[in-house]
Amino acid sequence: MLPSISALRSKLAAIAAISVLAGTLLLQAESPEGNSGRRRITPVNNAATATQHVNELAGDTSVVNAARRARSIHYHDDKGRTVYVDTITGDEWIDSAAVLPVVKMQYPLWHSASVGVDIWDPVMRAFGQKYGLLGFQAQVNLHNRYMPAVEIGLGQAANTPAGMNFTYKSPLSVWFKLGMDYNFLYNSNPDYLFMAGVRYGFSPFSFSVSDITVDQSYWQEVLRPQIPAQHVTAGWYELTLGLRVKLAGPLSAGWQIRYHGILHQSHPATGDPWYIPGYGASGRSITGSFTITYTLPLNFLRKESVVAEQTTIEQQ
Amino acid sequence: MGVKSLTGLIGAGLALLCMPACNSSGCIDGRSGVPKAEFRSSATGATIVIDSLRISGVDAPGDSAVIAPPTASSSVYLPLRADRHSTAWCIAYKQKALDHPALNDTLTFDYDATPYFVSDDCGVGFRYHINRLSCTDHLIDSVEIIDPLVTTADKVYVAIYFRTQE
Repeated sequence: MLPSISALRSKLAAIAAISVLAGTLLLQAESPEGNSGRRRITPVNNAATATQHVNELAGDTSVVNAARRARSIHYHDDKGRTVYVDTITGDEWIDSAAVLPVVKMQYPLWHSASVGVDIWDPVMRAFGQKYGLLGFQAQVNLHNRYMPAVEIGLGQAANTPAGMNFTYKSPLSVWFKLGMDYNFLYNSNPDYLFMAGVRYGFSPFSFSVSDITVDQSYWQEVLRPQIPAQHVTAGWYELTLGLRVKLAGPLSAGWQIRYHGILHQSHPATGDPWYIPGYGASGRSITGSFTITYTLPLNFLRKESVVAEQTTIEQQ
Repeated sequence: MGVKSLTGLIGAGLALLCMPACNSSGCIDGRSGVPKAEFRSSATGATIVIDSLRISGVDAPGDSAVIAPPTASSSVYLPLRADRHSTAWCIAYKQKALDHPALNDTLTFDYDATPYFVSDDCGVGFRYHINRLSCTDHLIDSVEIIDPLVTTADKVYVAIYFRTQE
């Protein structure tokens, strides 16, 4: 009995396998797509399909603006707006969606005022410089950013170069400068200033040259002429770059590198001056200053009102 | 920005300021102006080269010459006396047929001299303003003032036109 049952099981298994295979073959025969199961078509392009997306987006303002931006240059105005200029038509238009955030001033308009003394020339004279005396500077700090400046000083020169044939003298004369500094660290701690600025300087002064010896070798003569006082006015510009840091309390110190050039100057018949008060030696384009500054805050009134409010609350 | 950074920047700035400032150094043009006279042909007006001239200052010490044969030149520098308003130069021709004192020419400058501060490198010299230029006319046809203000610039200030064959 047992062998007959085993044979029966084998036959049933074979029949089942044949049935499954036959079913699979039938299903494949009914499917028109074959083994991939996907429909195959040939794409067709014509004029309509090629321009369809263009026509559909022709009225879309975002697409129109993008096209205008592509052929435009742009700049940012003082209100932070992005202004586009169409390079073809010249039209200007504002992209209202691209407004830049305007940086808010952290410090009040009338932030502080300062006075300073420039000790550069006195120090340099101690090291042999033959000109310069003293300068004073007054500044107002607006928003800790813009700092209009007025400078006034005195200059003097006396020079007898070794091996030369003259003594140059320029008596005590006054000079003035007017300009402004810009603090790049305007929203940072006002104890530290990093500034660039411009100045216009002016000085009326005089100079004379004495102890002159001129050797006319061919004629074998030595002449001793004099150049009497020549009255001159000169105006110049300065481009400055410098730092100022707080030393203690209201005192701070800083230096500036100054690049300068003559704007206008009178030209005496006896030659141009060697030294211009406030400017320095006329042939030099770079000079400097080192200033000790006393700063007076201008926002003390507002601070007092805050303190008064706090005191009132505490009393209640 | 930290205090140390700013202190460093201050130090760097001071170091920069202590560096020598930009200036023009050296005296290139000299102290005093010296008029340069150019020799030209009266026939063509062109510059000519002469090798037979002897030019010396009238009343010059030792009768020294600024140019003498066989030196050939087309121009000559004629220094003026700064303490006077007139300086004369004697032009002698040393060619065989012309070497006679009677044929010498005299060139006279009338001018104003001004002491001039050139620069701290060059010092003080003189500038001249030529008011008049005159000459005898043995072999010189004419003279011309090209630029009356004589400075340290190296250029032609007067022209001397000699009689030449075309």
